[in-house]
Amino acid sequence: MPILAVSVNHRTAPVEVREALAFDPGQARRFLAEEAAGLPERILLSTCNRTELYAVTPNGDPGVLLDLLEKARPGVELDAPGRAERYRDDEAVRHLLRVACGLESMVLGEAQILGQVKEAGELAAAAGAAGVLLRRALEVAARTAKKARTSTAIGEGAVSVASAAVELARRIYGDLSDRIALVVGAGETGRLVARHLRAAGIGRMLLANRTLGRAREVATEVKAEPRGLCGVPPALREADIVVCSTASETPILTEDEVRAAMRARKDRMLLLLDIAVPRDVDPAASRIASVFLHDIDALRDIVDANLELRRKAVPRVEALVEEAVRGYAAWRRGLSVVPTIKALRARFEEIREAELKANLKRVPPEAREAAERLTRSLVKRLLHTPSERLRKAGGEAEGAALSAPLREIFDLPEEPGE
Amino acid sequence: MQTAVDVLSVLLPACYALAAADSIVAFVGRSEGARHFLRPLVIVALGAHLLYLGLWAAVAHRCPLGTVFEAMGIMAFSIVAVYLAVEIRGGSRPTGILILPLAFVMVLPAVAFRWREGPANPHLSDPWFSLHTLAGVLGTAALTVSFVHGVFYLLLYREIKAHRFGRLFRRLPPLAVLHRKTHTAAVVGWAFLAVTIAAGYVWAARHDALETLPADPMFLLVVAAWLLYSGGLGVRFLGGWRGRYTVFLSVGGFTVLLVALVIVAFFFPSLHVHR
Repeated sequence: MPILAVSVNHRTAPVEVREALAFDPGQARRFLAEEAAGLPERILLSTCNRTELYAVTPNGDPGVLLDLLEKARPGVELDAPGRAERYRDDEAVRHLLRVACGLESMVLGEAQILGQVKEAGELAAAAGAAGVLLRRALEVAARTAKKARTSTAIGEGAVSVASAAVELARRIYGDLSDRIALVVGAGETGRLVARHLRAAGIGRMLLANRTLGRAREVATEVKAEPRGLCGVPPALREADIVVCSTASETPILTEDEVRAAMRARKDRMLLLLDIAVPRDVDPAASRIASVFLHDIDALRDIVDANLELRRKAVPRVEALVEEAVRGYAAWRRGLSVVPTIKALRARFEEIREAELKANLKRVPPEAREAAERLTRSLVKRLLHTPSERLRKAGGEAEGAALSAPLREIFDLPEEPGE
Repeated sequence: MQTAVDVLSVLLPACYALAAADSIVAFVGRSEGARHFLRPLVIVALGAHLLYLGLWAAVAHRCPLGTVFEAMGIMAFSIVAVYLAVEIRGGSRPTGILILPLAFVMVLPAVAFRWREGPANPHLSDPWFSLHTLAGVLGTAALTVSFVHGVFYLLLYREIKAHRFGRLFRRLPPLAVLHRKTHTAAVVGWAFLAVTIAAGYVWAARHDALETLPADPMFLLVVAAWLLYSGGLGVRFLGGWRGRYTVFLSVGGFTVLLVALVIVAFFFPSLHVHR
């Protein structure tokens, strides 16, 4: 039976369509257990950027899957040209692997998708919807994605300004748990960086804002200590990382103020991240020893460099995907001869047991265990080469060509369904 | 025993070559395996080296410090031992890319020329001279490790300051870690250097050679290097200064020491003549 897949994603559909089509875990489980129950195997992957349905079905038309999605989400039109991508067999497996590796993500190489693919597999298992073919495809996808992340740069570095700020801080200080951050400005950008710093395990965080009320509000959210803007110069002496993101028209930190702070800090390193436009820190402060002043452009340079690294890694990841797709196809071809191999083994085992039983009296009791071992080993070795040959022959036609005479010669039972 | 020494003289450079190659792969590439195996490889190389030194001392019936090449072997062993200690203490990404190839280069002549040298230095039987030499080798090893980390620190400092986010930025440990490693190794080296100078002074006094010391360029340069290190550590411990100036002093101190060890010792008349 063919493997089919349909994908509605950020390339094919605007956000309104993706929103309308999205499934939360409960809905996905219900969909798999009820609406899509007619498909022998099915997996639903639903994230903010994509909804994809993978299925094994005797009907070879991916349109069937789109119909099911449309039924589950009335009002969503999926038959418009280019609205959905359709895949079949190897292409469907390849697509799943590419998705798991982050090659199809909006932000190339993002890591979250692998977890989402795994969750989709767990949901399918819970709904009793995952069969041999799709379960194996998910395993291969997870393995390939992990290999891609460890052996290539596909997931390397930060790819947003806020995470680039944290990456830079880590390159300077390493462990952030004993460091102090000062975030100046409680706007959206400041809050975002503060959240990233908190998630990175910053030891202590001070949050300064022109209005203390707003500082308190955001400080509570990111577990920081609120300060007014007048608290910035003294805080400069103790903080290791200073993030400035105010809407001030003039610099709030002059070169002299930074120089005075550095004297008090006795040359201890200071990372100044100025992500405000217009800038909050006098650019001349970058001349001071042990001061690392980086503005929004510098952080974007980090992001660009990381994205470039990820882009360069794409051919290597694609090669890994191709290798895995080939491996999966070979495994799948091998499945067609499994019933013959099983039947052959059962027949040999039957003969072995019968002969052993018939000759049991002639074997001394102390040698019976050895005889059991010996006959088992004999059968195993005799069947090893034929089994391997069958597996390698694989494909439907070649497998059948070898299976038929074997079944005839050894009088094996007919395959179920034949 | 001689056979064991012969076998180890082949195995030892091979162990160091393997560790050096692995350190390069771990630094340049992305192989987790290379990083994972680096520490065990270094430990194996050190174990083999220790065995070699013990066997060689037994075969040659002397402390393996009697020739320049033997001193190089001990120095390589000490450098790698200090590197390993600093690496274990400091954590983070491995920085053996310069240290392990250097150790390999030093070990090669140390095992290859072990028969070609004349008899050992007769002064080695004097405990003060032995202490002076051993502390000197250990101190120089620690300061080499400090220097390498100091250079890495300055390179990364420049990269970050200039907003260059290339391979060094991605592969080197964080600046603070490099600073800590530079400092830790410098403290060890400084202490051994102090012992070296003190033991050498006592030895010179016992052999009526004190009057030659003020004119001995090696002695003067080593004392100058030690003072530079003392300055660097002093501003850190007493003044609480933490920045790159302490690294500058560390790198400067090692440069002076290198001049003393290589140029002066080989080309200028001195008590410290290398043969």
